[in-house]
Amino acid sequence: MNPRFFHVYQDTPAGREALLQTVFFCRMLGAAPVVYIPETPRFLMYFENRVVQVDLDCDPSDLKKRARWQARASEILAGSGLDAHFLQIHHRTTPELPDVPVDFDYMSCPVPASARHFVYSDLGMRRLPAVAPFSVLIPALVARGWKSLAVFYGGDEKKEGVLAAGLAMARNTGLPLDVFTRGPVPVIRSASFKAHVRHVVAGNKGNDFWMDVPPEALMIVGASGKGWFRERFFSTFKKELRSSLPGTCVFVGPQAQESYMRIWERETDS
Amino acid sequence: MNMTAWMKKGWSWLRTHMDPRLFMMLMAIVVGIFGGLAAVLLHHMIEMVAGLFSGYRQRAWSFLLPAMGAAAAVYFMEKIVREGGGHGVPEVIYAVSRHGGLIRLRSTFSRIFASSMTIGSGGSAGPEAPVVMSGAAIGSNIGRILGLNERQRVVLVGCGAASAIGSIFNAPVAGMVFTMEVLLGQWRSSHLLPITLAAVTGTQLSRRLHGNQIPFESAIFGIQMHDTLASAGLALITAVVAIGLIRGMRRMHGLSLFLASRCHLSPWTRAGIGGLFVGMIGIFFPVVLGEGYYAVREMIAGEFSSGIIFVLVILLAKMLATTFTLGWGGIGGIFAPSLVMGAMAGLLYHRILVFLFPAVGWVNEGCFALLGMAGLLAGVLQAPLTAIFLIFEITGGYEVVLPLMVVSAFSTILCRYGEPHSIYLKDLVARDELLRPGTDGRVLLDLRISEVMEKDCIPVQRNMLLRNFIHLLKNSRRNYFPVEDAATGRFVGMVHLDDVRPYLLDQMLYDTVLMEQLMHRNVMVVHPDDELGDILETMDRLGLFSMPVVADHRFMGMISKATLLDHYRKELRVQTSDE
Repeated sequence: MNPRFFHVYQDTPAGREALLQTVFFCRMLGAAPVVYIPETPRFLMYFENRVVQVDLDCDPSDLKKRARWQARASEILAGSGLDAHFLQIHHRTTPELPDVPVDFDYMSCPVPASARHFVYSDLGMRRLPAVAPFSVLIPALVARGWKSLAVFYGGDEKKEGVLAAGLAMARNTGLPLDVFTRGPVPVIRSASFKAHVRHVVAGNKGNDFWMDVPPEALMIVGASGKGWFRERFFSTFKKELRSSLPGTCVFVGPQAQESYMRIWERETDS
Repeated sequence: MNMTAWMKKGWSWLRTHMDPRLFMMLMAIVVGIFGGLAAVLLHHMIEMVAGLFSGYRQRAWSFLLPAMGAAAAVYFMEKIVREGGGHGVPEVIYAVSRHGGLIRLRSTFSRIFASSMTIGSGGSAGPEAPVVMSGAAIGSNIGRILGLNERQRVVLVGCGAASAIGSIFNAPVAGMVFTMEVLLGQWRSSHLLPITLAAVTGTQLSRRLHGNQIPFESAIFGIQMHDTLASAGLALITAVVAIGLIRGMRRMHGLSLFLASRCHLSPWTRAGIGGLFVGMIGIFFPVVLGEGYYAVREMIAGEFSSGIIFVLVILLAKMLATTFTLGWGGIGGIFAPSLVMGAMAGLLYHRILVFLFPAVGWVNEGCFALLGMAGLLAGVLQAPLTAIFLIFEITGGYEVVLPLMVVSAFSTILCRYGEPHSIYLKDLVARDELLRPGTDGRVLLDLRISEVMEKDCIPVQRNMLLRNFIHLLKNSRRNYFPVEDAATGRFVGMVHLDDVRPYLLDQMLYDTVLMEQLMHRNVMVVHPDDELGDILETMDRLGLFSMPVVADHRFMGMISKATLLDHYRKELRVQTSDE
């Protein structure tokens, strides 16, 4: 079965750009897009041990508007040669609160246009990767295709999962991979993985480190799922990256990293 | 080793060495403390908001206060905590029945603040349902943080709700019974013990902080046989009022949604309009505003001196005010208004009895007010035991227990004729979302298509010759063979062994017949996202015993009734065991 990519479509210029990035991603990885046209300004995703609420910027208030949104999304997908599969909601926690299934391989996080809420503005971006078994694509403001992948590896054994994710994606897409590390240079034993690594850049914090990242790279970043307080008030690598580089990111949370690690270990053993 | 590592080690030791039941009891106490604190906080918040508004009650514009409170509460829910409205009990039942009791963290506090604004400003609603939501969310999130499994989390959700109800009413038994009867819908000893302990903990904490007060002090009534018999008649009245209230709430909610969509009203404007109507009713009948417990106290004490017609009018006014508050989106519960309306119904019935049979020595009208409270609560919640124990505990009198049982039981039965489901379950049942443990839907919910799918089917290509197929058949134990397109790998049809049988004896055909000539093209397929209940229904309707699972035009496996039944039995055993 092809990997499935879950996308929440919002009929705004930013929403269109986000869908275009999903299209690029799906074509790159051979994933099947599953598009959700929201009915309410929020929805819930029930994971194994946590429920996450995703808040949206806007939602179509009536059926006519929804049909229009759906037609526009279909048009964008068809223009790229992808089948449009729209998600039907089967269950709702309350009539105004749909439950969206979570058995996907990737998801595009609907990023709010501006931080309008002190507490909840970037909750989706923080919590989704932290608890989801899938990787989360954070779209950039403007869509453009990627010519390489850049993975940010912390140099720690515990964080090898993100490296494994980058290597797996590089192998599946055939794109060259640049590994950026602030720690020791990783040892990649599997030949099938190693072949895709173009550069390994070891550096420190600062502008030079970010300047080495190719401008047309899809960035793969680990997401630790640290608490709200820490993310809000302290400097984190994720925040630094988001403020330094405007490109598209894929956040790979702990659970998704685990599954990539299994692939990595299998490959390394063989 | 640092502090965190020590704590982790200690926790892991506790989890592995402690008896699971004892561990749950310990967790129940923790949840009970937090649930009790939530109830105490809500109580203080309502008093604080009411105190804040009390200075303006005599002003000409005071009828606007419920509107302001309701609008502020909904604005808080929609914009500040982004949670949406409703009193929350159906949400808790839904979380328990479908998602192992997972509830959002924000629900631990959101309704405490929102309902205090609604009730404190004069909205006709109660604090019980919001505090149930908060308590349940506290239990759920403690369970989540501690990494408990689904079953344990559900028990903690129950513990939170029981402690909150026990604490707010000073009625631990009612808290425990409400949780088992309404929220969990099952009585299991493994649930009962921790939930009881949590209810006791919450209540004890509230008594410590609040004092051991009985909400409605009852007198010694001297109930006789004819009073007990007459209580059966009261059940009819409370059932009618309960049905009227449930339907009124639903209609008012529908009307408010219709008007809101027509006039493009925001949720807080809608709640504000509802509150405005409540304020206007309150100008003529101030008794309908807020929780209304002071009126209940007067009725139980026999100090409510209005006549039959006036009691009937204020009963209707209270019903209208409640439907305007809650039906238009205000945040609060139906528990307290039900108690008030029940007391009014009891009083009305007593006065009718006295009017019709003046020679009979009827018991004090306060007793019928109590019975009315139980009757209406039993009807609205379809929970007779909760009603009996709640009234028994909040009045502190055992004397009324016999007529209490009569009126609660009859009211529940009669109400079911008009409204088969309680106010909490009605919406869930209408949406087909209510799944109680051990029921068909609940068992199927816990089974995944990937679990029951058989993956040992051998796919064949559409241009495969019969000879090759027969060779393949020797190594297969299956009767079904999916047919795929060689170039695209897409699923194109199915071949059943019966389709091949007529050709088996004619070897001339072995090199001329292709699989695509034998296959069925229009095969009913299943998608991995489909629900097992729907799949079984399709199988029954079409008389099928198995169906192929296809995703993205690719064959994934087969689902058969026999395998499904096997998994079903195992799951049923898990769900109905008391371990």
